[in-house]
Parts: sequence; C-alpha cells; structure tokens
Amino acid sequence: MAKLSLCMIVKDEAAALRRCLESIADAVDEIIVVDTGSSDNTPQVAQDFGAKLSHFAWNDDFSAARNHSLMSATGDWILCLDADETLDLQSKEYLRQTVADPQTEGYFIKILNRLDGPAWESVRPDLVFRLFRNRKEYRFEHAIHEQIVDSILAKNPKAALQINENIVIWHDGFREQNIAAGNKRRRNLELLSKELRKDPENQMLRFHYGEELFYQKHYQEAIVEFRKAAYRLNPHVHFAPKLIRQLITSYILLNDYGAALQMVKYGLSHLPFFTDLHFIGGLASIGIGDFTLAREYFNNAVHTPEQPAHYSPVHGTRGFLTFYQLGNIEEELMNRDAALDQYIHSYKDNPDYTPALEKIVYLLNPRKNPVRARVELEKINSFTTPLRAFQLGKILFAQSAFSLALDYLERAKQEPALIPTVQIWSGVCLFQAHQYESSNGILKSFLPDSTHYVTANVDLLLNYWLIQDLDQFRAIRKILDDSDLTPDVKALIQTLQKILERVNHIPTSPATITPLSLKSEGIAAFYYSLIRALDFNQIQLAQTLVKALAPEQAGELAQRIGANFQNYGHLDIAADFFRRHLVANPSSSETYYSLGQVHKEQQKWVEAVNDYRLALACNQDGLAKQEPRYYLALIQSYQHLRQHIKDNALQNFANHPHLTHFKEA
Amino acid sequence: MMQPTIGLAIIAVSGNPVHWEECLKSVKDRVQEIVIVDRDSPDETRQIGRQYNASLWNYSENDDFNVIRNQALSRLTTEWVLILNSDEHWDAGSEDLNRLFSQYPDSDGFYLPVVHPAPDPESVDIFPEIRLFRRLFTYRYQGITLPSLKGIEPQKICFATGPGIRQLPLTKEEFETKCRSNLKLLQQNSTAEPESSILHYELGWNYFGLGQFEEALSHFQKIAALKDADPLRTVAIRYLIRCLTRLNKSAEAIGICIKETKRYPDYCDLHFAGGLIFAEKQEYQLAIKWFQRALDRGTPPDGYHHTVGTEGFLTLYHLGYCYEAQKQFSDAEHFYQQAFTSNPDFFKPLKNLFLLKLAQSGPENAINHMIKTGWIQTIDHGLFLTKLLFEIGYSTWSSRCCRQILELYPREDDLRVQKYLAHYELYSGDPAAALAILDRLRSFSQDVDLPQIIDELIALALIGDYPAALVKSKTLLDQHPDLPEAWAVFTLSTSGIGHPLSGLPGPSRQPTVISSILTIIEQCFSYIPDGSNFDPLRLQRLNDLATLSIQTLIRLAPESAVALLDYLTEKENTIQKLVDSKFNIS
Repeated sequence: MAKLSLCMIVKDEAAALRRCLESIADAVDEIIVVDTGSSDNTPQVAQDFGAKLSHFAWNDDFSAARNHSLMSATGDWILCLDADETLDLQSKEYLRQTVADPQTEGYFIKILNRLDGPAWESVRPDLVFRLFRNRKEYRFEHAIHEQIVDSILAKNPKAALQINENIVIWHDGFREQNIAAGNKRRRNLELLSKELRKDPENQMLRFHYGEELFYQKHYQEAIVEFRKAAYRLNPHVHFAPKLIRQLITSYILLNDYGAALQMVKYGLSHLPFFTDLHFIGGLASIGIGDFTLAREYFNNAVHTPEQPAHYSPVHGTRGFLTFYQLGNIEEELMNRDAALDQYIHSYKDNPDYTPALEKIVYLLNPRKNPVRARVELEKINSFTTPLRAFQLGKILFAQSAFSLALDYLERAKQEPALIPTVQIWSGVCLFQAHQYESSNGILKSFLPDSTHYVTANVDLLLNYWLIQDLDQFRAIRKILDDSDLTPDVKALIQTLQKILERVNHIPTSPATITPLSLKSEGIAAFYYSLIRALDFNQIQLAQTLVKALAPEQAGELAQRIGANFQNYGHLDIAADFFRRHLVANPSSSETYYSLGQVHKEQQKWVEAVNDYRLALACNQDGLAKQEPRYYLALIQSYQHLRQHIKDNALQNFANHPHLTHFKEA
Repeated sequence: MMQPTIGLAIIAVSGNPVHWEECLKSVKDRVQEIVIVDRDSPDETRQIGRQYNASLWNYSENDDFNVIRNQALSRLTTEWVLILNSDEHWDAGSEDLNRLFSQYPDSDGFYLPVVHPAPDPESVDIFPEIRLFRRLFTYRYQGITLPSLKGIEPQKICFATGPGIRQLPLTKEEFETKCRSNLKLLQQNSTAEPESSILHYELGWNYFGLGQFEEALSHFQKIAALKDADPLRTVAIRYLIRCLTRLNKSAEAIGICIKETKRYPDYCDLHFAGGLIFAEKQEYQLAIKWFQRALDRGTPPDGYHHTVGTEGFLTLYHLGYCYEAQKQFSDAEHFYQQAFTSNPDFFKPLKNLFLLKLAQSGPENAINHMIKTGWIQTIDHGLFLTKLLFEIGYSTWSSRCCRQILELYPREDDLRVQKYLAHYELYSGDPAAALAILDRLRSFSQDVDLPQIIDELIALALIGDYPAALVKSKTLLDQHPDLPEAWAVFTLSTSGIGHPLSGLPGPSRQPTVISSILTIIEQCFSYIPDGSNFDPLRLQRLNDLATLSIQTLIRLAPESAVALLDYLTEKENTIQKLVDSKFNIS
C-alpha cells in the first residue's frame, strides 16, 4: 500500500493544530511538522501526535519552509495541510483509494472555506492542489501562494493531474477574526508584491495580489491587477473563473455597472454556465436600470447546471439568492403579486433564508389581513415543526401582526428551549388582543432567577402603561430600576411614567418632561412602545411619547415614527413627521416618497406630484439605487390629477365638446 | 525694413451699417488707402465709409464678381492690396502683417485664413483664400463666374496661418438672404463655365445653407468626381458627407469617409466627420477610434479647408460624449476637461460635465467640483451653470451657486447677477427674499426691466397677498395692456381673492394668458430644495400657488381646462419617456 506523508508548516497555532491533527492523524502514515518559530506550545502538540518535528527559521518565504517539510518526508505521496484546516471525516477512505492509483502524479482536491456571515452563505467551495507524489524534483515555488503544480509540470510535462472532489478539506482561515488576528492581509500583500517584482509575468501571483487588495477594499487598485492578470490568460486555468468574478465584483462595488456588464459578457463567452457571472450580470443590469436584462441574467442563473468546485461558487446564486433578487425587481416595479411569487420561490429553495420569508410576510400584510395571510402562508410551508413555526411567529411579531403571530408561537412551544421567548411574545399578543388577564398572568409567571425576568417585566410595564394603571406601573418600575437595563431605557421608562402621571392629572408631576436622548437600546424600546400604543389605539399616549424626544433625535427618527403613524392610518400626523424628517434630511428620497404615499391616500394630487417628483430629484445621485417606483408613482399621480381636473371641469362646463372628448380618451 | 503700403478694397455685400463700421474699424490703422465698391447701400451706411476717408464707387447690376473686384484694384495706388467683404472683420494687429512681410520677402501673395461660421453652431470653418497680394497690373481677377486671381505664379503665393479674416455673425435671415442672392448671381452667370469646380462649390454651399441638401449633394458630387489635386475637392468632400448624413444616408457617408481618409490621411476633419457618423449611430467604440485619429492627425497642412476644433476641442468633446454614452465616466470627464481647457469659450463640455456630475453626486458636489477643478473661469461660466440648475428645477441651488459666483467675482456685473438671483429665489419658494433683492435693484437703477416687475407680481401671489398682486397687476396692465404675464397674475389674484371668474374681461382667457399660467404651474412643479435646508413652508407656498392656478384654469374656460389637461398629459409623457430611457422595463 502506498505510504502517505502529511507535511505542515506551523507557527503559534497550538489549538488549531490539535484540531487539524485529530481529524487526520489516523489517515496518514507519517506526520511532518516544520515549526517556523512558535512562541506557544505548538511543537508540543505536534509531538503529542507523534509528528516528526523540525525547526526552520522564518525568512518570509513560504516555499522555502514548505520545501523544508518535503525534505523529511519518506512516503510515496504527500498531502499538505495548514493548521487552520481539517480533513472531512468521510474523506479518509477516499484518500487511501486515491493514492493507490499508479497513473496519477497529483490531485486537485476540494476545500470548503467557512466564511463569516449569515448561515445561508457560510461556505464557499474551491479546488486546491495539495496531494502529489513525493519526488525530490517536485518543489514549491514563490514566497507566497506557494505553488507546486508548475514545478511538477515543468519537470514532467506529461504528468497526469486529476481532480478529486471526494477528498474534502475544511478551512477556517477566511473568517474575519482569524484574518485580523494575524495581520495576515498586510503581510500577504508585502510578500506578494516582493514576489511579483521577481516574477512580474506570473498571472496567478498577480491575481492573488489583486485579491489581497480587494479584501482590503482597494477596489480600483485591485481592478488594475486583475486586468493585468487576465491579459491573454488561458480561460481554462483553474483560477480564471475566480479572477473574472472578483474583477466584476470590484466594478460593482465601485458602481461602475457599465464596465461590469462588459466583463460579464466577456466572461460568459468563455464560461457560459458560470452561475455567479449570470448573477452578477443581473446585479449590474439593475445598476444601469435595465430590469429586463436583469431578469434575463437572473433567470439564466437559476437554470445553470451544478458548478465545478474550482469555480468556487457562491451558495444560493443558483436558487434562493437569485429568486430574492427577482423578487426585489418585481417589488421595485410595483408588481406585488409577481414579487410575492419570487420570494416564495426563494423561501422554498432554502427555508433557512429568512429575508425571503420576511418579504413574503410584509407583502401579505398580515396585520390588516390575518385570515388571507394565513391561508397564503400555509400554502408555502406547513410551519408545523417548532423551529419553522418559531421562524414565522418571530417575523409576524416583529411586523406587529400580533393576532396571527400568536398561533405560530403556540406551535413553537414544543421546543423547550424556545418556551420562555415564546411565552413573553404570546403574552404581548394576548394583551394587544385585549386579553389582559391571560397576558399579565403569563408575564408575571417569570421568576427573578429567570434570564427572561427583565424582558417579561418590561412588557408587563407596557401593559400597565397602555391601560393607564399608574400604581401597577410604579410597582413594576421599581423592579426594573434595579435591573441591568441600560440607562437610556431606564430614562425612557421614567418618561413613560411621567406621561401617565400627566394623563392622570397627577399634580405632583413636573410640568415639563426632560427631553429624551436615546441610544440604540433606548431607541428600540421607544419604537416598541410606540407600536404597542398605536396598535392599542392609544394615539394620545403615542403622540405624547414622541413629543418627549429631544428635538434633534425626533428629527432623526421622524421617518420611522411617521411610517408607524401612517401604518395605523393617522395620515396628517404621519405627514408632519415626514416633513420634520425632511427638515433634518433635505435630500431623503424615501421620505418624499412616503409623503407622496400619504398625500396619495388623502387624494391630494398636486402635493403628491411634487412629493414623488422630489423623491426622483433627490435620487439623481449616481450612487443611489435606481428607483423606478418613484417614476411609476409620479405617473400615477399625474393620471389621478387629470381625472380630478376632468371631473371638476365637466361640472363647470358640462358637455363641452373638447372636455367630453378628453373624457373619452 | 520699410513696410510696404497697403490699399484696402472692400466689396460691399451688405448694406448693414454695423458691418461697415466693424470692418473699417478693424483695419484702418494698417492701410493707407481705402476703396469701397458698393451698390444700393443706404446713405447712412455710405456715410460711415466717408468717415474713414474711403473712396466709394458704384458697380452696376450687370457686373460680375471679377469686374467688381478689378474695378476696385484699379483705383488703388499702394504696393499691396488687401481684399475684404463688407461683412468681414480684420482679425489681427499690424504686427502680424509686418512679420508676414519680413518672413516671406519674395512672396507676391498670401492665402489668408478666412473664418466662417460652420454648420456646427459652436465652431467655425477656415477657408484659405488669396486676399493679400502685390498690386501689379498683371494680377487681375478673371473667369466669368467667380473671382479667382489670375496671372500670379503659384510658387509666389504663400500660406499664412495668420492674420485672419473673420466673417461677422449673421442672423439666420441675413444668412439665408445672402445665400439666396448668391444663388441668383451664380445662376445668372453659370452658363459661361458650367463645369468649373468653384461654381459647383458655390452652388452647393449656398444650397446647403438653405437646407436644400439634395441639390447641394449633386454639386458636391460633381467636385468629388474631379482630380485629387483640385483645391476645392477636400472641402467639397466634407460637405458631401454632411449632405448624406442630413439625408439619412449614413452608410454611404461612412463609405466616403473610409475612401477619402485613405486619399487624404492628414485631413483631421474627415476623421472627425467619420467619428460623428458612428457616434450618431451609437457605435461608440468605432466613433472613438475615428475621433482618436482626428486628434492624432492634428491641424491639417496648409491648403486644406479646416473646421477649427476638429483637431482639438470639438473632437475632445465628442470623445467625452462617446465615453459618457458608454457610462465610462472617468474617461468622459478627462476628455471634457481637455476640450474645455483647449477652448474655454466652448460651453458644451462645461454643460455635459456638469450634468454628468450632477447625476453622479448631486448638485452640491457638482457645483463644488466645477469650482474646485477650475471650470469657472469667467462669470459667464458661472451664470451658465446657474441657468442649467434652474432649468432642471434646482432653483435653490441656482441661488446658492449664484452667491458662490458673486464671491468669486465680487465686483463684476453685480446687478446682472442679482436679477438672476431674484428670479431663482422666487421659484425657490422664498418670495420675501426675491422682493428684497428687487427692492435693492430699484434703489440702484430707476428703470427696472419687465421680467423683474413680473417676478415681483408672482412673489406677491406666492406670499398669498392677492389684493396687492391684483392692484399691481392692474397698474402694469395700464402701461402694457397686452402683457400676458400681467393678465395671468390679474386672473390668478382675482381667483385667489375668491371673486367669480365669469366676469373677467376677454384677454384673461386668451391662449397666451393660459400658457403663462401654465408656466407658473410648471415652475411650481420644478422646485427642488437644496441639500442643506428643507423648509416645508416653501414647498407649501408652491403647492398652494399650483393648486390655485389649477383651480383657476378649471374654472376659467373650457379651453383653459383642456390646455391644462394637455399640459399634464405632456408632463406624464415626459416622465414615461424618462422611464423608457433610464430603465428597460417590459
């Protein structure tokens, strides 16, 4: 049986090395560890696993260190790993089978890079060349991004190299914390630029150099390097797909959508089935306002075949991410039903992709239409498992569809870990449905040693605030004053009490309420109180609460405050807040748009025309997103204004031929 | 070295006294004798000639060009002769002329650059013509149709790059009248030399000037069929291309560009023409190649008829445009900048770049960018930007920009800028500020112009002081009973007070008054607040005036209601077109 040597170079990676060796020690015949100057107990860990340990003075040259590790290897085959990598459990068997093949000189194997970020985009596959025959003429080259493929092919041009995607390595090194910890990016950049000075024609090194610039957000500079690397590049080399994707992504991040699109076309002429290019093409098309082309690209993306690992494909571009983008397009073009369909596709493709479900719930407006929303939601997913039910219940609760949220939260109770949260939210939902006793009962059931004790009492406090029970409010406030709530939340609570006192004409209360200046926790609590007041139809409390804000903060928050009033049908109040927000942010397109929506509901068409027009005008900034809905809304209000004029003019001048003609047209 | 004496021969082609004055004034210091051959100019014009001690001679209706010119030559006694038309302007100091004589002492004549307004309104054409030569009796104009100097040996004539002769700008009517009268003269005399290239050229040129491209085309094609060496062939080719483009035969035009650039590789004007055609067809990559070649060639050698700018600023501008159309904005900016640097009197790059910056980064950054990167070199550059801003609706930005420009040029033209400023303030929804400026203008100068009085009336309406607006509009109507804007404010304030409209006098329903009320609505629908402060009251005022205007037009007459509906349909269509151009939504 062929003998397999694991060769590693390490420095200060004791914990990682232990994880790595635990995953692979029994799958190899020999472990070579070259330490390049650790100050922790990395060498000890290596010895614990019976590794042949040697030391090598670090000289800014990865290849030198790697080649040093190869020198000590006695196996027929060599596998190179880094300490932040582990062998996938199921790969061990394949590893043995693979090295038994007499024809092959080396293998590209699959690496799964774990990334930071939300669950749905946490893994990025790729191919790396790490497994090859142990021959003394096969040696690494380049101080960084050390490569051995070229060296093998130089010595043995006919060497058979294969891809084996059954051998899988997990890699943690792309996580931000790991990158930041070692200042690896800066070091890499220095080493790469040194190497490039030695070997300026090397396109792969140049690509890696560009990548480092890209990760440091120097997109302009990255583009220059990527373009050099791409010049006359054989499109079939393993890094070509990644290169073109990075290049196009750089253009997109610089908002140069025209250049991005040209590159997408070029890239697709060589790699027609590369999903990510279609996806990025869609994004760039949106950037230039070509929604038809965007739809085309996105539709192509979901119909591409499964991607080879060396494309290093982004998870979701063949499905949920793309459907989500298609949903965004339809929403932007005010095609609500089509948008809903796309978000449903997205959610069905990956039910863990919560943004899609949030959009679905938003479009169904379950606060106003709970029955219909429920029917539609149940068509998408039965939401019977506790986790699914909780996922939906949480979104419904966040969008203040309290009555419907209650049902799904109920189902989530089967999962013990979720019970406390579910109970609190259910308590709130019950209260908003005027079931005070059940609500208070649930919220009071939390004991002081519960981690949810404070949260439950905050909600209880709001219950008493809303039914204006000053005594009970004071009692709960005492509990909360001793809690670990942030000072601004406590200040908010104090204000809530003063509002109650004032409403109840308590003579002792000071005439004025100290203006509130809230930080993030306080702001969240503020909105939450506001929504609960509006939902409970306590408009006066809601307005008094908003008035308690310091003027500057009121200006900042006015857009969202207005949106909440608008949501509950208080249009004049909403319009006032939108105007206040505009005083603080005179070029906020979205606020003009909201103001237009209010005037539209009030059928004030002259005002609506000017609002939508201003939404458009303020959105002329080239960096701003293209918003066709501003235009579409403006066109609609011109039509309404004309209708209004026709109706009135006909009253004044009945049967005038020109006007009647206009009416018919 | 002694400078030779020069006699000026002016051929009167225009009876316009301003033209004569300009022409004589520009050259009087360098010439020792002046002869004007004239026919039918008014006495007032001829008087100007006498003031400059010119001897005036009449020519008769039947004389052709040569007779007229030779007549002039024979009246002069100086060593050299300079020929000008009465609508031309001598464009240099005498130094340039002396340098010319000392540089080419053996020369007997000079081709001088004659600068005409080109078909592209922002450019000029330069045609070399023999206009300065030794007064020898053997050098005489011959040929029957058109003046061409005979008897002078070609090797004794030099091409001079200056001094130049500039055709004075003509109004469209003056220009067309001139073309028509030229055509008449040419047709009278064409039988004698029916195939001479100069005859075809003159016929083609005048037809082109009148927009008769088919006729023009046939004459230019005749010249194109001649030998390469014909001195008029290159310029005829350019007009041939222009005719074909105007007649929507761009494929043919491109064919000619390709063929002729091989024949005349140094002729940048032809490369430029090719670039224009491709740019119009939205083939920007190709257009860029052609424009780039025009730049590389540079100014063509002597003897070519050259449109100034095709070697530089015009081409640079069009390159910028091509890059902009392809959304390659940094390249676009680069070329616009170069175009502007090489000719700051050419405003187009200023406009394009400003609109581009406006779209990219909003008015504040755009204005600052223009100021910081040196685009505002004169107060006119600055005012140009404020007008652009106002047209787009950035009225508050116009006034802010105006103030910034006043800071840059504190003493220049303050009153002129203030008038703009008042107008901008008004439609920024700040009538009080507008009124304050107008008051101050009054204190400086007694006669305030009509536009400012109208601004004042509208300011009163915006404030909501309809009684005052009514009184003032009546006063204005006493002085100007036909002024639609005054009627508009009169009608609006009547409506604003709540009086019935049925009793209003007839003029208030006239189309011009209705359209003037629509203009007010348009202005109310154009306001964009500046980025630093949004005053809800301003928007409110403009909304109120728009609402009042709309209500008034609904009640005024069926025609006004229909006009309003037409206007709003038009507005809606504009937005729809904008959607179609900006987005691709199907």
